[in-house]
Amino acid sequence: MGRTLRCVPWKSALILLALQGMAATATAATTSVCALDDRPGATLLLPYFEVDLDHADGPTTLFSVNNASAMAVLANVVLWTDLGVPTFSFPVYLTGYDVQTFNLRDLFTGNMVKTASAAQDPGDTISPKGIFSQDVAIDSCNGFLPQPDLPAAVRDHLRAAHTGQSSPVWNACGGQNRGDHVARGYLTVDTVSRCATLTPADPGYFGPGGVATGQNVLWGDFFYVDPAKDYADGDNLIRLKADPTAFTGKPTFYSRYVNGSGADGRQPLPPDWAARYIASSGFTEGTDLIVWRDSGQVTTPFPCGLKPSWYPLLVSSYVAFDEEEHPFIPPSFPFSEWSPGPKAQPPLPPADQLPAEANRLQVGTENLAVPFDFGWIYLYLSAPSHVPPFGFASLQGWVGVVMKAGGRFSVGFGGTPLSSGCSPSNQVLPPF
Amino acid sequence: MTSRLFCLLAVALLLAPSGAFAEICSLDNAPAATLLLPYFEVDLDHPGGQTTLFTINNASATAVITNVVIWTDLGVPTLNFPLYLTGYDVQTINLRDVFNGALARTASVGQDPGDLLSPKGHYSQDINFASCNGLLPVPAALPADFVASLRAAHTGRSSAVLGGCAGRNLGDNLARGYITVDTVNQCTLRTPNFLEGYFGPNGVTTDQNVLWGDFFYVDPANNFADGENLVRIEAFPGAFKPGDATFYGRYVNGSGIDNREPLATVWASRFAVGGAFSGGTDLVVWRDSGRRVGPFACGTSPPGFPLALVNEATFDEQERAETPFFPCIGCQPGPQVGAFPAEAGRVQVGSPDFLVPFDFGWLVLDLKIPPPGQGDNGFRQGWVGTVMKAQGRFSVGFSATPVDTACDPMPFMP
Repeated sequence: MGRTLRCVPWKSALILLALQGMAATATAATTSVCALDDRPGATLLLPYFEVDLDHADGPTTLFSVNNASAMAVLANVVLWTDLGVPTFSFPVYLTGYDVQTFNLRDLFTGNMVKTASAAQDPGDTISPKGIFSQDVAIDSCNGFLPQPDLPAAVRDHLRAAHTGQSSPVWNACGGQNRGDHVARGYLTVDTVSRCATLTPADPGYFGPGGVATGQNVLWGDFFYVDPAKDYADGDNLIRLKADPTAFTGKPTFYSRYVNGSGADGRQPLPPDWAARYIASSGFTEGTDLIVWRDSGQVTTPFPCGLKPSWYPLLVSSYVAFDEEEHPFIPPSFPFSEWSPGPKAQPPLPPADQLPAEANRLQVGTENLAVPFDFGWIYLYLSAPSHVPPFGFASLQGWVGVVMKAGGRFSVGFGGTPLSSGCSPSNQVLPPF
Repeated sequence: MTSRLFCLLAVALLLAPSGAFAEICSLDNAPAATLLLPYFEVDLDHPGGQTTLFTINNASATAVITNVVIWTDLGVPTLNFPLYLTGYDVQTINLRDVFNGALARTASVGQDPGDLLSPKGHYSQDINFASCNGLLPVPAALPADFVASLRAAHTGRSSAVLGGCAGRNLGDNLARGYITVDTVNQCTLRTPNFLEGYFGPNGVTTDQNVLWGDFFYVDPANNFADGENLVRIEAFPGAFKPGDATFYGRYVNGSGIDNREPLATVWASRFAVGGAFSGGTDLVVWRDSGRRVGPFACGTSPPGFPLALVNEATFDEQERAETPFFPCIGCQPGPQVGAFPAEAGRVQVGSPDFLVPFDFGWLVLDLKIPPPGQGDNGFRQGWVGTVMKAQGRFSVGFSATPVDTACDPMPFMP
């Protein structure tokens, strides 16, 4: 079944037609904007990252940003701490059909990926393009692109902010200090119309005249790599589709930054998720949950030693089932009681088991105690203050699963959403 | 209200699958009425070799019956068995066990009054399916001659039970194929390719969007394990009219009565053939041949096979494009035997079966089948997954990016 490549000069016209069709389809992806599928989106979410700053060969996070369209696009990459404070943004220019890969370790050592539009790269040496790819001049990127390597002060700011230490730029903190010098947080990538130092938290980012666009052309993936343990697992970046007119006055992914106006036009995520877990057998190191949550608040740097007003985020409810469907329902705010169960109940989990916006938590540990070795977990991520009887304003989230066999392999994949961000479940806990 | 009753209500409300949020024609991970394991492989020569594991989960408090169907890589069904799931149940299956003759043993209340095979939790329904008498629990071990036939069918050798061959013989004694899991209303010996009685008003299938699950490829010798969610194919009763593409369209003559949303026809995937991923990139591809495939004479191929490709393009990281197709200007793209000749396959990018001129980049696969014939629009659905490997260290698997949907497929090019 082998084959040979036949490189013929006139094929270009035909393949161009094919790929133009692909781009057109990418645009058509807006037809079901609420589906949490893997079609290209206008925003990519890397829900959690970690980089071990003490060990050069320690855990790191890689991701790629791809342009599904023949048209050149500009993307704005924004780093957020695990508590949702934006720390840094930078533009990435993508020619048509471009793919750009990133190792976040490079960024935390100050090394930036170089891209540039035709205006900054007339010789096409930084962002070369293929014969079917558009390469345009974006004058607003003069002075921004190609992105220089980071000055020491910015690099130190990033390393401090993402490890919960005082940032020399802010003279304040922005994340949790877990005492392990692992940089944590999450990352968003938005299509934008011009280079700017803005983030979604800034005025002028969304809405008329804003820099964000609704081009559903971005796709990509992410890997967690731990070379010392020979672990690597990953999944597709979460692709959030945009429809500029579909969400007026409705919840959106960036609701908190647009006062709920829907001006960002990005589909929201659901609050309720299911995920399988294994805590023994072949997967000897158990299961980690990757959980991204929306605090619903705009978070700014805060005095070190304190936390944002919303901290910690609480979990409205979680239910763990074993493979015989025995449920474990820990007490959850505000009303429920311990469920009856056939096995010994684990210690009471803390209310702040998933306290941050970006979390990684091992199932079976103190913060996510389960009395079983196998089964699945239901998580409703909206904070209790947002669910009945106190009202209902669903706070979105995302859940991923990583199963690990000690020193051998790990497997990662997304959890299962049980409702839509556009019509989220409100069946949390009914009042007595 | 007792606390127990309260909890019952709470959990029932908590976990009741709404189904209302399902988005037609989107390949999302919402619970569904059909699950697709797009490709499996089990090394029959080495008990510690490659295998494939998968799980079937019930997102609902209501008990359900599912029909697990095992197909060869050319799309011939070889074995089906009912799997009963109490509410919120999860069942894990190692396909090595299946090829050793051991099926997952479940039973509804009628066949398991002592609740020994399918125990249930406090908040899970457990009911009787009388139709399952005699079918559940499945035997503890399949007959040896049947197992031998099953192993032969999935390794491309002559199967005594089928009376011929049913899959490709790649000479490595790896059992290959794919699996579907449908919600049904009774235990059945039927499979989706039956002419009648599986779909439609008098069919056994249901439209319960309650199934979810995942699958792993595990290669203990190489310390590889990677996996992904099973492909969830949601049912939308009444949404598809005759002529519309559906997942089981080939078995319902395009009538749409299976109610299952179709997959995509064009996919994009990243690849790396070097660097940290020294083991390269494999593509896992499931394709719809558009045909009802039966056993065939060994040494031949069933009609329509090998499957051709419409188009393929490969880009490096500088967006230089390459394609092996289109041999002349103005020609209709003729049938091309590509790297994916079967319904289920796994191919290494950069291997002789799938040459690429670049070490890194991404590729586009148009899985439609050219040229369209009379009464056949050629719009074939498919699914693509990506597995990147670092030799002897780790592997990472994830689904590729669908570029269209078979509900609204990209047109043939040019």
